[in-house]
Amino acid sequence: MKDYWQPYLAGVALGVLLFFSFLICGKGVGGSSFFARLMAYLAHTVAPSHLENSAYFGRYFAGGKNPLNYWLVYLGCGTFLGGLASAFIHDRFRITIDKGRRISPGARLIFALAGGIFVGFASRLGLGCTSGQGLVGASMLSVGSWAFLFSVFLGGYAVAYIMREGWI
Amino acid sequence: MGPIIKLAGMVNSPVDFFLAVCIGFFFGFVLESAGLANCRKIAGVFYFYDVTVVKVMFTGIVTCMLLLYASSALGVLDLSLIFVPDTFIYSYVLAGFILGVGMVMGGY
Repeated sequence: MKDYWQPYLAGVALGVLLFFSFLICGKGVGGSSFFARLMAYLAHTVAPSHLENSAYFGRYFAGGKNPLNYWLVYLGCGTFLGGLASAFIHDRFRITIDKGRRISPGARLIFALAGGIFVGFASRLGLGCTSGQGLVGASMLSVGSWAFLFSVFLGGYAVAYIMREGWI
Repeated sequence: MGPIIKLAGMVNSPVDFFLAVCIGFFFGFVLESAGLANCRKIAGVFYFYDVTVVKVMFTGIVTCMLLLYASSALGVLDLSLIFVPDTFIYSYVLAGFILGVGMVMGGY
């Protein structure tokens, strides 16, 4: 396994990339929309009328639109491929459960699912995750995005102590 | 000059979507290369054993911010055409808090 990039250089690369995303497409990156739209699409195959009449998800389907035909969904596919390519190139690709030393794999997966539900809900409530609100909104100096970002750290540190068995 | 796709009237065209895949590819590549696909690094922020995520994220924000405002001052990029999420302070503060809790539980 090769070393990760030097963090500050990686940060500069990330900032330059974000800037080009704005310069070329006028939009920044985002992570959570991909999952929201994919899940809405899958749920729609089972309960179409429920999704179409939903106050939130209805707009994904308005006028017979396909929720997956969306800029951030294409971006999400690219992100998956890019991460995969980097993992292969740096010899880091393996199937494993990343966790702290003291937690069992089963408990780790349960916390991962619970944490995912929290993050998924919060990303819809906050119109974005740490990518869309954090990186993009913050570099546009949006007040809401900075409030969001500080709040993420606040929430994290608030429960870090009770979750310590999972990570240290 | 920019944003190029918007000024060319090609928003949501196949070209726009192809560019989204390309930008996403580099985004994923940089994140993985920086170690942000490793949940122990993400959790490390909250226990102070590894603050890589903070270094990468805030360097990225500052770099992008400087480039945005410099390009705007030079007339290269029209910032008024760029998407910024609307501001709903109370929802964002609550959402950020819940997301932070979920991040420490799940690791991403």
